[in-house]
Amino acid sequence: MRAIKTSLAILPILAFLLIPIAAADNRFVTTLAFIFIVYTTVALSWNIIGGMAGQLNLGHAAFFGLGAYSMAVSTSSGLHPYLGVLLGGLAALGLSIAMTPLLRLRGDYFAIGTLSLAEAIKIAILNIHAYGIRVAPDPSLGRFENYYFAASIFAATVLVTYLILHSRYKLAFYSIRENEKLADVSGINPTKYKVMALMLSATITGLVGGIYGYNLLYVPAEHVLSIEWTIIPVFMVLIGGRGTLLGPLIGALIYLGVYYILQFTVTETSLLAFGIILVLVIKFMPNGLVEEFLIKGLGVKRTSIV
Amino acid sequence: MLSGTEVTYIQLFLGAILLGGLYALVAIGLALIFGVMRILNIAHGDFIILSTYITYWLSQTYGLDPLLTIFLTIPIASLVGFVTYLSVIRGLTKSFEAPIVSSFGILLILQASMLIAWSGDPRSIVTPFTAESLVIGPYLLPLVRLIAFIVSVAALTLLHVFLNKTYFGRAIKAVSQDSEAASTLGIPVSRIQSITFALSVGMAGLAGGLLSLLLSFTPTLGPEYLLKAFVILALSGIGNIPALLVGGLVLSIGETYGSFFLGSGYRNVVAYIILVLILLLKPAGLFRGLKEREV
Repeated sequence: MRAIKTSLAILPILAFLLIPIAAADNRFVTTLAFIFIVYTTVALSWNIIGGMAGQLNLGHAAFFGLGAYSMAVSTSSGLHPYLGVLLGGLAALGLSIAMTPLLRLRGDYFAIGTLSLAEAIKIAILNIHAYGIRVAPDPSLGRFENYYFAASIFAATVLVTYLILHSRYKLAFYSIRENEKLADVSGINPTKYKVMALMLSATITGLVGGIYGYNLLYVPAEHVLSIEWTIIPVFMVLIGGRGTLLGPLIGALIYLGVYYILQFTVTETSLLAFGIILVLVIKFMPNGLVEEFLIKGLGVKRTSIV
Repeated sequence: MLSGTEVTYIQLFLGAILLGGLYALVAIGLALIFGVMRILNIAHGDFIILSTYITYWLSQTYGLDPLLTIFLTIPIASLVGFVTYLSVIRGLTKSFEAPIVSSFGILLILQASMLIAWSGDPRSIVTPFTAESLVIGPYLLPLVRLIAFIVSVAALTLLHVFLNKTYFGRAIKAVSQDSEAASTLGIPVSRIQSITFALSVGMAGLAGGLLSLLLSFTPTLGPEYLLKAFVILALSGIGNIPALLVGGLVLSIGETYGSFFLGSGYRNVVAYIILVLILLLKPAGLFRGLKEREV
């Protein structure tokens, strides 16, 4: 049984590794897979702080944008692009450390504080670089290399999520999410775990932002710091099921499905569709699709998923 | 005799005061819902922007006077709020994320609908008195801003009287202080909630209607006004309308001088900085009358 489960987990990862080779000259497929990886990894990283530890971080876009921006700035001054991406991850980590005082806030206040901080950072950067930064491409690092770089971040994030969910960290995060005061008196240090979750989440997002920016070769603040990098992961995690590994993945599939079906018509329509889906899911299945269909509907045992 | 710079500073100050009244009106709707339901209505700014478009649409289509159109905008906005409450907000789970995320969905729906109906191009309303100003010595008081200020302060005063003197207003206050105790005293809590939601969006309607006379607007401006409202609530707390007015003035004065000295691009940064500082230095402290969510 365990072998089956392991192979089930490895198969999709293998599939992702083979996509660029199988797609060969079809750049559309590779690009699509790249975007899927980017969104899904950002969703999985938001899931750590927002889904598992239950801190409604609405400033996630700041990590992503800062990652992309640090990459662009450092690469423009001559650094190797992939080192620039790593620097992006570090910059996001730094921001998350600077944000730790906000973790003292509870619930709604944390949401407002992070949202405002992200907007302030966006406006400040927009005032410095109104038209974004162009990144000079390194001839040896093209779409395929970028794809594998992003895919390895994705794989690492899946692994980290899996490891957290199979360790006592999961219990610590979940108990903070469900009842922080109770967690505190049970001997869990909420601040320590919340800071840990935020730092981890930020670093991953910064790395993804960096590679996304390099793949685009152009980093406009308006886009990489846009609130959509907060909205989309929150959407994916809540649709699928927060605090799980499968939930964000399912959420990502649904999101990108809707996105690509509707993108070809009108952008506003997809926005409208997301709004309606979000309202309906929260109203009728507040625990997400994984809980609703797999656990309740199909009777899958909870332990095999979470 | 004042020097040129001093005249400029005082002119800016007067402009900021006129805008501050309107800012307080922008915040009151958010405070009402937060007080009565403990719901952070992320779509509040978008209800305001929706109201600017309703005013725009009514005055353009039927050739109505924009200022009088606001009297139509308010009931329409209230109705939108009432329907939203009944269809989306009522009966959500008690977790604090559910209403936030849900109102976020409403934000997306409103924004997308406005983009579909009116496109993303900026719109504005020109009234016969748009260019008129009241001249006092060296200072100019634009007439639309003066009207917006007077209407805002009048509306806030009326609401203050309503909340403190009428049975219904006191019921709203009672629910916001302790909904369980209010319920045991025979106050129909869920009906109070639905009416508060309608009242809140109606106030957003008035704020939006007035804003449409002052500034140009696009469908995506909602979050900007939401954050202004947040800042004011953080400064003044909820449940105290005079304090809200002071908060509105502080924000508009900060914004006005911030954009004057740092450049207009930094106008909103001032608001965010005020907010983050308050949250860091006095977490929940300045939100007077707000208790931490029961765990």
